[in-house]
Amino acid sequence: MAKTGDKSGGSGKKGLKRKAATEEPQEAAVAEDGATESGVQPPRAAAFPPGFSISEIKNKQRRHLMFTRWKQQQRKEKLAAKKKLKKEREALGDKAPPKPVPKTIDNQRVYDETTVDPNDEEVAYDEATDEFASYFNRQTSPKILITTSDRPHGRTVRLCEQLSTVIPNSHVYYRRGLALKKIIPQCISRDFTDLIVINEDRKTPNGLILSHLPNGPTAHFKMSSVRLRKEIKRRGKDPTEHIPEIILNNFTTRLGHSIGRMFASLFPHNPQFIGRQVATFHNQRDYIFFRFHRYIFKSEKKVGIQELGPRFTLKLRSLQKGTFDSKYGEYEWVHK
Amino acid sequence: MAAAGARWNHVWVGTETGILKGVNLQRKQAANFTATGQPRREEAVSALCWGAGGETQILVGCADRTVRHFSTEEGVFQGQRHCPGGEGTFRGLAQVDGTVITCVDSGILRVWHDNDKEASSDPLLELRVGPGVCRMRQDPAHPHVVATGGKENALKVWDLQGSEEPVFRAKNVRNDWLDLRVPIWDQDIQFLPASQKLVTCTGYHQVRVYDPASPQRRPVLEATYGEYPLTAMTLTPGGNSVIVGNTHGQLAEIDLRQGRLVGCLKGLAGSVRGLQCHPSKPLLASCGLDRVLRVHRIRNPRGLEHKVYLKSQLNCLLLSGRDNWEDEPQEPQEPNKVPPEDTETDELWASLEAAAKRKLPDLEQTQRALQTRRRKKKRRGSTSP
Repeated sequence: MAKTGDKSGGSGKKGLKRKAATEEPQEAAVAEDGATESGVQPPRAAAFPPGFSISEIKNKQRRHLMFTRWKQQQRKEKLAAKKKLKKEREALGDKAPPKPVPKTIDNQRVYDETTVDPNDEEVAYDEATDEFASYFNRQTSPKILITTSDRPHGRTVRLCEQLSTVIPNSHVYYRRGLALKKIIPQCISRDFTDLIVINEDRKTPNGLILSHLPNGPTAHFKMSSVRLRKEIKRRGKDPTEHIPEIILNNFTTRLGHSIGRMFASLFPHNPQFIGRQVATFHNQRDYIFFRFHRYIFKSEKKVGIQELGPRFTLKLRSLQKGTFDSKYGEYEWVHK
Repeated sequence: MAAAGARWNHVWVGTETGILKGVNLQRKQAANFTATGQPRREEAVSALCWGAGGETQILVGCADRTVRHFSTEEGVFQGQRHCPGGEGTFRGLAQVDGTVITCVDSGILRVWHDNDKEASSDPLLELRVGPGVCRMRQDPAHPHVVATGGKENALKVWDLQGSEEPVFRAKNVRNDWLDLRVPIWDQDIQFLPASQKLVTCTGYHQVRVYDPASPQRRPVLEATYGEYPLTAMTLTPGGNSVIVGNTHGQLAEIDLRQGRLVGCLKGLAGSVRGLQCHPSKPLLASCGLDRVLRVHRIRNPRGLEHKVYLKSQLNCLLLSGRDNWEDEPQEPQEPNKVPPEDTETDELWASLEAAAKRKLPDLEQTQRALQTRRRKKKRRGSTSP
């Protein structure tokens, strides 16, 4: 240890230290035994005692130096290995084995058994007769009531106004401290099909309750990353009155299907393509991203899009069967 | 094949789409059975119970007020009977001595003669139990005794062979500390074995034990669990505790001797609709609105054993109480093959007889000869043995 201490302390040069670092305790045996190896390298190579690691050096400066040496060497080895592999692949040409697919979180996920198979009759029947069947059969058209929690602040009010421009046939009402359970029968009598309540906490909207009205399910979401229109950079002009198209991405599981249908039933069935507006609900890893764009086709394959409208992220907290009744309602799915 | 293997299913589950599913946990298969071949929401299964004769028949109570008979041996629906009267779905179904007891939401409890041939005969007995019934349960030890309870409908125990008045009528607990009346909402009832006691779980997250033998009509023991309505309950094999489930999918085991929580079971994400424990093994089957049937092991160690995704919302379940859960031996294929071969040869010989106009004894000889010729393929057999 004294020898190594002298070496590290005495020679401040990088080269010697690197050589000292290369003969770490893992290769201590090699350093001690292999005369050829030590012969190739300068004879002043230190032999570290086995079980030594860089983290045991008490001097911070020296420790940091040793670590950076080690890191640089690791990087060099990795680069060399990559180059070697590339050369081998080029040498093999066509016979080279296919490139390995990198592991991502989506790749490594366990297959969800509730993923809906498009040919499944039971699920098809279940969906054909659930609470949204009347919307999907074109028997009812949506009429939405948007409101907030009591005494909303500016951001929430502006979000509600912007949402009402995005969702056609929607009305914003001020919540005068009324109980939801009393609002719901009144909505049903006035033929509303959906109720959206934006919950606010400390002057920012943070929750969304979406209740399908006659007796449909109620979804409770956590809302985050809310960006109002003026906060969106490079946005287009305000949306027009045209009915937008809808894109629902990645709602593949049975629960995803229910939520996807809930979102779809907010918008009327007949999108006006003249308006070139599209609302997107993109589900990725259980977060639903809402965006509202205007698109224009520059050619067959190239599209330009402008983001209009508010943008927010939702995460489902619970799906309750029946209209809003958080205390006594039965839950289809609860986030645990 | 699904119909043939139906008797070996461990769990029978009724769904909201009217399908009865039989699940074989050993082979990890689920089979769908419907009366009409197509799922129909009008036939949503609301109550299930074992029929007469061990576990060979299941009575399925549907939302259109029919009780269908399903045979587990054959795997087909055998008959049905319409049980009108009152409003709402079935809240309880039981059978005793060839009669079927049904109870509906509006409180009409009727005893019907379980005979398919008689078309919608009048009920043998009718009782008015009070509106808002949530559960009617039969005492397994005394099949003529049933208990009913519901929302603002206190627990009542009826003896169907006795008078029209209930044998035991529970009393509400005292007013709470604000001197307000405590509301009643009995969601599920169970009879405790080896005593006259009953356990109920309420929508106000209480578990209560009543003892008709004691002079007090109020609950003997009360325990609370959670903050959400308890929807289903079952007794554990030991007989000392119950397992309850609530609308958030939380399952808890509560010891009835002390009224304390023993432990919880994890896994369910939706409201628990059906719970049943095996009578001897420490297994618990649970089903709910999250469309998954789960079988948990209750003790040493507590945890999930099986999980089966069944695509519709599950309403009620029946767990087979048999001890032998191993898979049955595969049915041998040979007995199926031999009879068709015999019929083929018979037809062959019948046609030959008609063509050659031979007498019967000759026919037999030739039959035997042909069989010998079949066995000894290489040798050319002679016609006479």
